[in-house]
Amino acid sequence: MKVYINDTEIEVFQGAKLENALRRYSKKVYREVVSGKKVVIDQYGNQQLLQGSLRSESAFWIEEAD
Amino acid sequence: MLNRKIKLAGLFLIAALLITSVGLGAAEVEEEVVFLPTNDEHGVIENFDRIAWYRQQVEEEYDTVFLVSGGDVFSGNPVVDEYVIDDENLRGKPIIGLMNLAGYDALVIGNHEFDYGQDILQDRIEQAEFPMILANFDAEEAPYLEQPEPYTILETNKGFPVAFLGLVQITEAGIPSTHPGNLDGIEFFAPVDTALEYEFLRDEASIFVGLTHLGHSWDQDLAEAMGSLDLIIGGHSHSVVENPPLVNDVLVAQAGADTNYLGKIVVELGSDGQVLSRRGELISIDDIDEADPDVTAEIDYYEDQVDEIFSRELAQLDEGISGDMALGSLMTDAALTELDADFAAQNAGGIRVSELDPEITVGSVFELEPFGNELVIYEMNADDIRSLLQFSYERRSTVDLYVGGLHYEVAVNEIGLVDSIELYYPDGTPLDEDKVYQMVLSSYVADTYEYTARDEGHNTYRRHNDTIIDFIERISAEELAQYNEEDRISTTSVPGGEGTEIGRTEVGLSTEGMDRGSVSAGNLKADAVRHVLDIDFGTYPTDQLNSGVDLDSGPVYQEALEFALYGSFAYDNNVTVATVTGENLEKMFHNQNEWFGGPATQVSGLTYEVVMEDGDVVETSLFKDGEPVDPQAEYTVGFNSYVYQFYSEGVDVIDSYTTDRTELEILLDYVEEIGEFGEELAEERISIIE
Repeated sequence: MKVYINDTEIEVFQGAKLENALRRYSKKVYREVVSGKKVVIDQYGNQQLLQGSLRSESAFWIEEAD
Repeated sequence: MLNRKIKLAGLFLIAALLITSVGLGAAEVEEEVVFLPTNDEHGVIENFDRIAWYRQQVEEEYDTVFLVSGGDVFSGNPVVDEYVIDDENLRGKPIIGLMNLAGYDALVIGNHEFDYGQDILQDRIEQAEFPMILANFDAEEAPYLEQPEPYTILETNKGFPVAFLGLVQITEAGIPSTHPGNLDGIEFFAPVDTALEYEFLRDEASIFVGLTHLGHSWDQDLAEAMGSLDLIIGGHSHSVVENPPLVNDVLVAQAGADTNYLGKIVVELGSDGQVLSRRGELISIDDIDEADPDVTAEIDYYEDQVDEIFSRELAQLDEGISGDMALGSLMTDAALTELDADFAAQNAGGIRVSELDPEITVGSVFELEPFGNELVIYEMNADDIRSLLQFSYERRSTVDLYVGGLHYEVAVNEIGLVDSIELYYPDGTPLDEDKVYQMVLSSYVADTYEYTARDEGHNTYRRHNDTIIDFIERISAEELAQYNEEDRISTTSVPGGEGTEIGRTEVGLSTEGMDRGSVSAGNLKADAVRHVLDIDFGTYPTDQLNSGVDLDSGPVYQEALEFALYGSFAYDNNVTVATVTGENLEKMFHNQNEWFGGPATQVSGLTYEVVMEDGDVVETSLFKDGEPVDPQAEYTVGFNSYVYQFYSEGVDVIDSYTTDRTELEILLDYVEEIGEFGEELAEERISIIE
């Protein structure tokens, strides 16, 4: 299954969660999200939490937390 | 026939507001109905007292309140997931009990509601004092589950009917995201197709709600396909939808996860029950500062049972199970046995205790594997398995993956890189090179290791700690005791080893003795930070050095620097440069030394003394050019960007920035620039006074 984070294509296993894709994208960014410094925003502009399900071909962006 | 929803598509779209609102406005409001949704509670029980209190407040202000859940109430908290009392399997009971008490009105059965098995789900459906609904499945052939209602119709206080239709997402395999073993005899259907079969509910209700566990994106597809809905109250994607969008005139809401948020959707009905307006917002649970005391007492009751839950005995042995080999073997055997796979691999960093006590309990398994990592199965041939094992060995320059179902022998060359890996069955027979095997990995290893595979892998939706509990209960004490005798991995050294030569050193690059002072690998890295960034002091955290590495003098290979010596390089860390006073820098070092129980930092540009008494660090003193650092002077110091948070905790920092370049890039720049290294790498820059 493919998803996109900051326009980078990420391959993850079937049934992966956002956490899995983010760790694959960057362990450093993953830790920044876990620590609350950054958040993941979905293609609709909503924050998505790390345990959330993924849909194939969906896109996310990393932003600084408020 | 009741009034149909009045279509307003395109009339109102208030986007950039925290409250989404749409409606006719002019007609007289007969009743205001409030929906308070949570979703993906995942066993988090601690907030239901605040949710209950908030519901009571809203009831005073509005005519009717429905407190509902978008599903996945189970799985995520051992108090709920491991609730076995007096040998009675009551998994899930605490959260359903609390939802009863908080006054929930409806719940859609999410994928994780199947996690405990059908019999337990049936028990929880019977326990619930509210309907647990689901439309897109057929459980007629299910051995333990009675078909729940596909929808429920509740009435407002003024008698207007409200229909809730339950839908759950299914994967490409045609089932929800739970272990297939939980779904015997159940057939699932595409949620949108099923939903369209229930459009008749539009005619039977004033408000038609899709109570879904599909994910926010799929909810929007549902809205596009079924504009007869008024609302979709969703879950599954853990989306924090602050401004519920209007899609095809359907308000699509979701409230994050873990009861951190509570949605609030207000629907105004006219005198004939027609929907006049809808508006939605999201309330942070932190903004609800009061709680229902009765629910609080019930939460306390369950949380007070943690000790009882964790102390449930799984096995009693004569002696404990000790060491990474024994524990890793146990963990991998549990995974492959419970999932009926060929092999499994467990990373050393995921083995969180050094020993299981002779009395093995639920709690000790959660200490062994506290992450609750889900297990993923890949199809791999022998070379794929080698790629995984080679990556794992070279990232820590030591055995990192423990295995079940196979044994392996890794040959390492003189620069610390893998030369070859031989794979065997436990009886010593080599693996079939052409066969494709089922390999189980934790989701953490699946995400963070590099390897090839024959397929893209699939989640089994089984948590590793659950498989360990089941496995320990399944096998005998004698079989468990045998794990102390396991020896599944061996290493050999082979001569040679060529890499990309980027420098030469007269001193071997070593991490041996790193717990007691400076080591050449640490000095090299700290020197690189100081020199390349042109700052006063460079550092590297000792606990990030790979232990037991001793590379010969002579060529410095890029590959050895990348893989063999520095553990943090696997994480693409950068360097954070902080400006601090000498006094505060000393505090930083001392705090870390106290935590580490000795010298915690490899350094460049300074030296330091650590005074220890009875094994504890009691004093740390820093020196520059042989003189104590000036307490008031300002120094620039480079730290690993990840551990900097620990160094700077509770210490005033004047200024800081983080480099764009990674630690590895900085080190490679340095080695290529300097080229030749001598005795400075062997300097003893740290002393311990005992």
